[in-house]
Amino acid sequence: MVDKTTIPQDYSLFYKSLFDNLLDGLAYCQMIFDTQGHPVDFIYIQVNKNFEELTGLKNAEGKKATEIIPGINKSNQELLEICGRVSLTGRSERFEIYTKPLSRWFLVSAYSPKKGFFVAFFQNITDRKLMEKNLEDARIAARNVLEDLQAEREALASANAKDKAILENIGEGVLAIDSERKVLFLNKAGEDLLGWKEENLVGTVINSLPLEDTEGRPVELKNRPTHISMTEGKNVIADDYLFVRNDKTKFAIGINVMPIKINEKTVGAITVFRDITREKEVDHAKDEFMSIASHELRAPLGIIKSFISMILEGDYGEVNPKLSRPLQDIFVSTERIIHLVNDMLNASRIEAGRMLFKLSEFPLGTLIGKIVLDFAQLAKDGGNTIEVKNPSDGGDEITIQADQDKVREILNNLISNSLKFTDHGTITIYTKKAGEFIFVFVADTGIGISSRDQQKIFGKFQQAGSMERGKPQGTGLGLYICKSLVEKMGGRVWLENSSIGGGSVFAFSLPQAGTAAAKKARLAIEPASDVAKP
Amino acid sequence: MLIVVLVVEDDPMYAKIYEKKFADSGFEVKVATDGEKGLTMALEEHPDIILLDLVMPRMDGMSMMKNLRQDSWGKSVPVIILTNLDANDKILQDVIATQPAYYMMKVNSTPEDIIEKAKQILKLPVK
Repeated sequence: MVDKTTIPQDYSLFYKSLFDNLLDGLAYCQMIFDTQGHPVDFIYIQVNKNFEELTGLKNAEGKKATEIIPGINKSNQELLEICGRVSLTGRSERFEIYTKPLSRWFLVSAYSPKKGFFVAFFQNITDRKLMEKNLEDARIAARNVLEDLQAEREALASANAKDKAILENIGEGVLAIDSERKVLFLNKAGEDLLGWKEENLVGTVINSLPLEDTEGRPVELKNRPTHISMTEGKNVIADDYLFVRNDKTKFAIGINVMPIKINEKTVGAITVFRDITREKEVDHAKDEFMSIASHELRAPLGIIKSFISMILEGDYGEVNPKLSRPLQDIFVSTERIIHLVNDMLNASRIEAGRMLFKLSEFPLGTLIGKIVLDFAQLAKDGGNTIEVKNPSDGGDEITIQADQDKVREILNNLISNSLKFTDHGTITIYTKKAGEFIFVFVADTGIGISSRDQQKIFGKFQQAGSMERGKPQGTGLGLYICKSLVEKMGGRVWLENSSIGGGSVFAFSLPQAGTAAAKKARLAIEPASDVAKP
Repeated sequence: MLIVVLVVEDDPMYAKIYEKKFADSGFEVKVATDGEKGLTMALEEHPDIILLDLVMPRMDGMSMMKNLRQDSWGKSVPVIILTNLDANDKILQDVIATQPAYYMMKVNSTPEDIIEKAKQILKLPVK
């Protein structure tokens, strides 16, 4: 509080010193109005010392604002309006304003000492404004970052929700377990299938859920798919078990367990499962159809064949020599139709996926020896020789993994073909080791196959014809069946080489026992083999 | 003493064929037309060898085989499975597990082949 007694007597000097030493800028101005009464300019009548420093304007007194700040009437129309208003109404105003021509911000207080005049006190607030601007920028940046974070969080949440929705709505049951085999998650389809609610199952050890084999015996722990998957860290598929629900109803369950590995360590597993009752029924129906078809088609043929063979054997008395030939012909035709039926049933089985493979490990050489012996007479009848060429690499002694009956069928097919197309020639069978496989070759010195026919002989109902011999006898299914059987057992079949008149060499490969190729073939044939035979 | 063969076969044609073939070869032949009768006859008469069809009414060959193998005599009697089911059939695979002496596909064998196989199993001289 200023003590009034200390105020000097010479007021004008006192106020002049105040005026000059004020830290704020001060300008005493007269407004200029146009003919319509609009404020258009003002004249600096008097300014204080700091005016120059704060505005950068020199010798302003007596000059028009538009004169020393060119363009101000355009850039700061608002300033003129306010000052005009103040000078006319006498009401003081306080405002912040940016003057573009000076590139400065000012905080202005204006009042009017008499009509048409105003006094403006002002501070240069450019630095503060800059700081405020920086602060605002920082605030915006921070807000943007926060918004981004929020957006990311929302995106993640939405992705999680999406994943969850997918898992929830997937048609198959999905169940996740942790490293202790405790249930972490069960989706909606899984709940419906198992008859368990997720909340009642979470934390339960998966192996305590009842699983039965087709005979109704509980599946032992060591055979349980999840157990195998978790202990061995591999994918396990099982389709031979029944799941027993809480209400004791059962369903055929198809299970696929995938271990979850982090840094090679199994930390849990995902089990995908579904009800395969219907598939089992369809499979059963297919099997039943194949059984009935096999039985009903073959039964009468077997009877015809048996009677003719007994007649030819003389079981019904001596055969009239005149009947002997036609009876032989009937016998041969019967054999042909039996062969046809067998091939067609096999092809149907292959196509229905109901071909049964019983894989075992056996030396190939022994089997080849037996089969060649079986063909010796037939070969001789056609004036041919059939021989086995012993390989130098001992390939014939090596054990292969295959279904012995199927290998026999393949060799029977290839050798029959060779004999069919060879006249007074030689059929040679030989083997060769090739990496994890054994190659088997059936070579003949027969009529050969044209390059055009070579393309199609492995197709269904395809036969290579020949001009001299006409259409060969057979079903055209033999090589198709060979191809399907060999491929199912992990090998392949091919025509090594052939030329018209130069004979043919057919070949097929089968995996050696104990190789990765053998393991792969076994897994393809018996996906549940790991489960059934741990 | 005659060697007794029991033919368990529901198809009268096949039964007739086996009956004639085995009788002509000096066997005493008994015929049962389903698995139920076959099992009863087998357990009562203890034949030396059994020819067994698989697909039959009432009791099929598989069930008869299972029952037969439960019996102290029946567990070791030689049985030749004669069927037109092939090796791709699950039933045949199951039957093989009951250890028949042999199995033959009717359509791929002649009666002569069957006689030879039976004689071989019974260690009789083959002609």
